[in-house]
Amino acid sequence: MTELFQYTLFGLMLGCVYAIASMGLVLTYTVTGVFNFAHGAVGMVAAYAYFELRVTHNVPTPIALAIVVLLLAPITGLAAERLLRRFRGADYATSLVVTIALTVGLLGFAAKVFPSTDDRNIPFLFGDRRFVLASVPITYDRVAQVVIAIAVAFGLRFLLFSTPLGARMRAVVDDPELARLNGVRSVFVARCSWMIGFALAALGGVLFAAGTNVNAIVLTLLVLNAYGAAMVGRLTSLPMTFLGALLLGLFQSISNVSWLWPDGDLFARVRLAIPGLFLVLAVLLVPSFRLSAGRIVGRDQPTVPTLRRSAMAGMVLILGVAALVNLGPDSLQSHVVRGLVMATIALSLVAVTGLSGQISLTQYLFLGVGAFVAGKAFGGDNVFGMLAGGAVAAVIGVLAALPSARLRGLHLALSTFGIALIAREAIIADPRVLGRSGLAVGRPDILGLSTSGDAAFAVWCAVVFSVLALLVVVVRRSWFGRQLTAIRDSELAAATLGMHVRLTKVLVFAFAAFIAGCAGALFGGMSASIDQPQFEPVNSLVIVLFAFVGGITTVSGAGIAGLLFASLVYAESTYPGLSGVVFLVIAAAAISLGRQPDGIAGIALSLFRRPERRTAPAEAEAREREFIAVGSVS
Amino acid sequence: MDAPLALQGVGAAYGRIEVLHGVDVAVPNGGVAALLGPNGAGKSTTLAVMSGLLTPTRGCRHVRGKHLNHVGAEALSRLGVCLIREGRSVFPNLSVADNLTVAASNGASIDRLTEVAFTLFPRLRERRKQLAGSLSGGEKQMLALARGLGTDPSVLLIDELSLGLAPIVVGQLYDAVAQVAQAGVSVLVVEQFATLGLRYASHAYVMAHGNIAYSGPSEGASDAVQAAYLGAAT
Repeated sequence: MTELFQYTLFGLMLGCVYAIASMGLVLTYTVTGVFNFAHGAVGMVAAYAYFELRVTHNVPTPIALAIVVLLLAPITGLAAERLLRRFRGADYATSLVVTIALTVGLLGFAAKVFPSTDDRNIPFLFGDRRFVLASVPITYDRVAQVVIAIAVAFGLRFLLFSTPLGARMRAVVDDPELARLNGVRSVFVARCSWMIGFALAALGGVLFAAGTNVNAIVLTLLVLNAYGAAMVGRLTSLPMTFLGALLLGLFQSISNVSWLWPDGDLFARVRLAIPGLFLVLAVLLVPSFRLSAGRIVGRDQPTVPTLRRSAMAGMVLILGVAALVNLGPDSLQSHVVRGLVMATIALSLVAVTGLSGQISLTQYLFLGVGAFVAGKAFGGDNVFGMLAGGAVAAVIGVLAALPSARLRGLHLALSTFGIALIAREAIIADPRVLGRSGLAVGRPDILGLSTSGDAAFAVWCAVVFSVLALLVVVVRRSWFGRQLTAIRDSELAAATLGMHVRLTKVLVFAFAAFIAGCAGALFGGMSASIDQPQFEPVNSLVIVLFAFVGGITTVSGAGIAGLLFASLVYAESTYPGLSGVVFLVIAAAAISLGRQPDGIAGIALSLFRRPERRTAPAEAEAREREFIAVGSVS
Repeated sequence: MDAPLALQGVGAAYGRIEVLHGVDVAVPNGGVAALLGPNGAGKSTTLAVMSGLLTPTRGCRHVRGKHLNHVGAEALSRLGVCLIREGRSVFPNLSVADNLTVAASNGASIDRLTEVAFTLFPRLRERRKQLAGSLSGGEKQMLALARGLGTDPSVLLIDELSLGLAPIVVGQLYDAVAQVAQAGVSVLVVEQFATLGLRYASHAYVMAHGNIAYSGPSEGASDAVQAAYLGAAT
């Protein structure tokens, strides 16, 4: 019984840290309408900054904490506000992608400035001091967490309900336009909420990191866990968010009670997946609510190429790749392979986002499944292994999409990310799945031709990409594709026409997972041996950025995304000074292209293929005016 | 003396669709003007441009003779332009007192605003802790109007004050508007009930199809009103 008591106590204390982080997220979301996906990364960077001050420069704890939480974090928050102001009123996808870009950028920054090879042990805020409560030893840090969380909760309540600034913040939430008419400086209010949000993220990050050896990804995911608590509060209610945070802390802590679980390490891994599980369940079970979401990716439907044109483009790609790898320098071959594999992963995102308008943050799970099956089935080096990988990934895709099929937008994106988190802990990190030293995946023989050489494998990748891309075009041109376009434009209207919205969504997720699974087989072949770090959920975020920059609505965009990835890695390997620059570059590109959902491909297409569109608006406007004039006479 | 707020040849558009095609409106100095017209004539859009919610696509917006086309609603509100939007324009999830606090964001004195509001509309004092969303329609409109009356604007723009309210309440509200107009505030009221609007106004504008069809003393407006509402050949 003491054990249960002890873990309950610890759970409440852990929940308090989650509460601090998640309340900041909720505050920013309600006031500005931006779900700051980078909240976790902000906490992570703050912990590093705290380490630098506290340990490297030996600044006393209170001063170091104050500098990080009250100075650095708010300044960064101001910068973030400036960055995101351009996207005010944009659809959820834009602000999600931009804050994902921030996440990736901050991770890249941390990797560059604070190499993970060094140990960074952050001491407890209050050292080893502790006292004993009913035979449970409690450090002063834990007490501080509780005190700070309660102080933050009451402080926020005071701010919102007892100060003029708080009244203005709530006014902006209630009716932004009326607030402007009242003379409320909306930029000032937004700045305040970003500063407070970032300060709380930083506080959460430092509290999580105190007493541990900091690791960028682990810490980011730790703060990210707080998103589940925020979803319990429907991203709007601070008290419910606090409650959600306590529940999350309790679940996570009580799951350590030894007599709750049967023996065996199957359940050991389930335990680690609790935060992800909590996020998915929170998104699924908390009655859905209206988010300030607008239109979904892509204003104009890009012109769909004809089959013949696509087939020809595929042939050109295959021949081009064949020429490049045979005539070019040998060192180029592996980069060509990498580009094509990445293009295939991006293609799976084109299938799900470009076709249905939803964002999936779990593609690397399907990639891992595909690689795993391809490595295990049919001897590990067979075309059928790849197809089997795709098929199994598709089945997993159905399983992942089934519960979330009624969701859309931010909810769907978060639930897919929750699934990625669950899979990371429960499956991929399990040493029995990929083995302690990784799992070997071979390269197949095609019609008796070996693809074990990089040149041949590059051509094979080009073939697979072209065939899958052709498949995407076929699907888009089909009856199913038109249904998807209809659902993408308006789910409600599609439902009133009798379409099976959920079934269609599940199918498109399965289709995308199939492509990702096939890409997984290529990925396995490329790396020869697959290992857990290759499938970190964070990679799913990175590939979303690449797909967006390349152009997530078109097949050619996927190709550009792959090309971009390969070129960046190539630049990195050629000029060692650039190492770690991939994350930063893609984050910057995604942020600057934020308002251009068709990406580079969209820009290129509008330049080359449809010159008439650039002169059209004036003409169309004149036509419309005429039309209105005619209409008003009658 | 320059009009406190005037539009000259203003065009405005929602996206690519133009809804105002060169509108000239001036709020008379220290008087009441009425802006009349049928549904969809562009009255609310005109007010949106005047208050800074929309930026003119062509023409000029003049505040006290100054060309201020690219100034937003926040800044105009601080310059003394106050728009009471159509349909109970209050913050439903804020208490009455908080609504008044926010209304003072344009630099007005909160004490004076509260005093004016509670003197003119004593019912608001009783309900000051209540959420504005739980007030009756008339009370909401009182609260919305209190902002226009108590923050000392130089220009007061009112959109459809009478919409859906009992005649007795409407009379009460218009009397309050007449009072501030006498105190020197320039007022522009938009009304669908033409006779009601014309009763309080000295100057009238009649809009049709995004254009000003009539501009002149309110006594002479009835023909233009009939033409605009009933669609006589023009």
